Amino acid sequence: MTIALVAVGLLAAAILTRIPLGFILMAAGIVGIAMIHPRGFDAGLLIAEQQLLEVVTDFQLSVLPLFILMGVFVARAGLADDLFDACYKWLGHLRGGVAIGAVAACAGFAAMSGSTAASAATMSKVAMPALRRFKYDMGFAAGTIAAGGTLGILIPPSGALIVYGLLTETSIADLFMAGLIPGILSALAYIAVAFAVATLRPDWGPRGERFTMREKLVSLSKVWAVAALFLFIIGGIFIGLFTTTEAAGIGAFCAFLIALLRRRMTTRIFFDALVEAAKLSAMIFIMIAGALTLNQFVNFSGLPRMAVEFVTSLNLSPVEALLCILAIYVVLGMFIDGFAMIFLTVPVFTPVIVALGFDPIWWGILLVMVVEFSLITPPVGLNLYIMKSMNPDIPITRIFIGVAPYYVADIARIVLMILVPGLALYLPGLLN
Amino acid sequence: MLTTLYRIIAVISAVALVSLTLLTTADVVARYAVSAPIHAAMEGISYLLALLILAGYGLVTRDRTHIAVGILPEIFPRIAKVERHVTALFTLGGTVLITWLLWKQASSHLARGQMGETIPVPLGWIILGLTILSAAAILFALRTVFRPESAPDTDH
Repeated sequence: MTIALVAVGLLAAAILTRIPLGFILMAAGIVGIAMIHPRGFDAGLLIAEQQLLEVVTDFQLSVLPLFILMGVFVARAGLADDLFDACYKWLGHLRGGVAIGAVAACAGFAAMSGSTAASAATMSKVAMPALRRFKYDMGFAAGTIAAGGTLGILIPPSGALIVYGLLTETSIADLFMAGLIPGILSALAYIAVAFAVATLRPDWGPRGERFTMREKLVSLSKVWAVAALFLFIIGGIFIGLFTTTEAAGIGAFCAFLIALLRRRMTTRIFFDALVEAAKLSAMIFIMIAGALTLNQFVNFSGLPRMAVEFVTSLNLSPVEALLCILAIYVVLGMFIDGFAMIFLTVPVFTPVIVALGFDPIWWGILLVMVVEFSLITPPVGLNLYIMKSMNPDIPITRIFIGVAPYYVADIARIVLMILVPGLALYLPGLLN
Repeated sequence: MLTTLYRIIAVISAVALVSLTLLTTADVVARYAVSAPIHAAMEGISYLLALLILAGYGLVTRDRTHIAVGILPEIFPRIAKVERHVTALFTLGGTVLITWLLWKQASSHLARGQMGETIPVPLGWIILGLTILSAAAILFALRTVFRPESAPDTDH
């Protein structure tokens, strides 16, 4: 009990202050191991140094910086503008068409980016001018992009799925395949919500312009290369042409070539993109090293077994226990950033979920969906504040109201995922 | 001096990432084009990854962009100043811990004279290089301890 209290105390310190979470996770792991291992701090430090070196030299982990680089190239080269332009030209004439186009572009950008913050920030820059021009309700417009931006961590390649795979030693290729159908369904659900809101409140989401077939086809000519790259990467992983690590390398290289051929790549953009990707990678790797040290403590301490025994003692069915865990995530998500939540909770909850008989791949997708939900729930929904910082004239309360309709889609798809696990497990089944 | 150090580390991280991308891509192309993957590519990728992460680590520490939660200063703005000092001290402690852990690994590998599996380089020297990069993060963290209020992007 004392050990658990020490670990929880250190984690609480992380939540309260701005001390880097990776350091806190590592310290919690070292102290925890020191208190239960006969060799004390020597054991804790030895495990920490081994985890650190293993993480930074693990060949498999190179998938993360390479996919991050691909997303940064796409974002920095301004390819999101073309994506929104194409989506708007095809969907803009519908009720709420500009918002629908923004969600579709978010989904497309997510397929290249893998980061919610990058998706929300980039699409805000690209789509908000059009949404303002057509006099959309600004809260609804910002809420739409905040929600659409969350698709970045579900549609592969996804940074969150890669991190989950690394922390739980689950196949990243399986997770990518598992995220595909739920990701597409999520995008469709958000589009349905935008359409429904615009139907109920036409003043919130007016129709955009109508374009000729020629204009529509011309817009596609600007995005086909990015679409082809996505299909090549995911298709290549699916048919076994290359591993996820190799796909990430090829993806980054091809994203660079696309930007170069379209004259969007300067020396300055190239260097800035590399440094940005390096920083993002280092941020996540320090967290992974800390989380894996904590993981070792959690395993040594028998916390998962105790948690399962506790759940069993409550006479809860596995589904009831799952709903309790999801409720904890929803509450945590109101106060903690999505990535931080994954690092803090996966080492503790995933063994419990697996012990309850659930599939770790399916749980990974469900977890990411709940994290997506947390990104748009006040008071600490990260994407809401990104929208606020990008659009200072829109009151945060209006963004809270504007994003609320998308909660319906989020809850519906989480329930659907619990009821139909095959949505996530069908494609990985084919892969294997 | 720290500005120059920042630039050097930024260049190291950029070169490592470009090399990582090219090596990964070339390995796949070679495997399909000439049925012969690049010799020792996997080990080379591992070293480049380590170089990239430890260089990036210094940049992140300098820019103060580590992932953190930090709701305390949001709730109690009055203690924000104290919290900044405490955070700076703990960040310094964390960078020292990581550098020390790497140094322990470097000295242990050097003592054993361990070599790479497919690339015949002394692993101890490679880890020592990573330790030096990590030590750069200590300098950046130290600067934050003495100037916790300063904006991170004012001197580069």
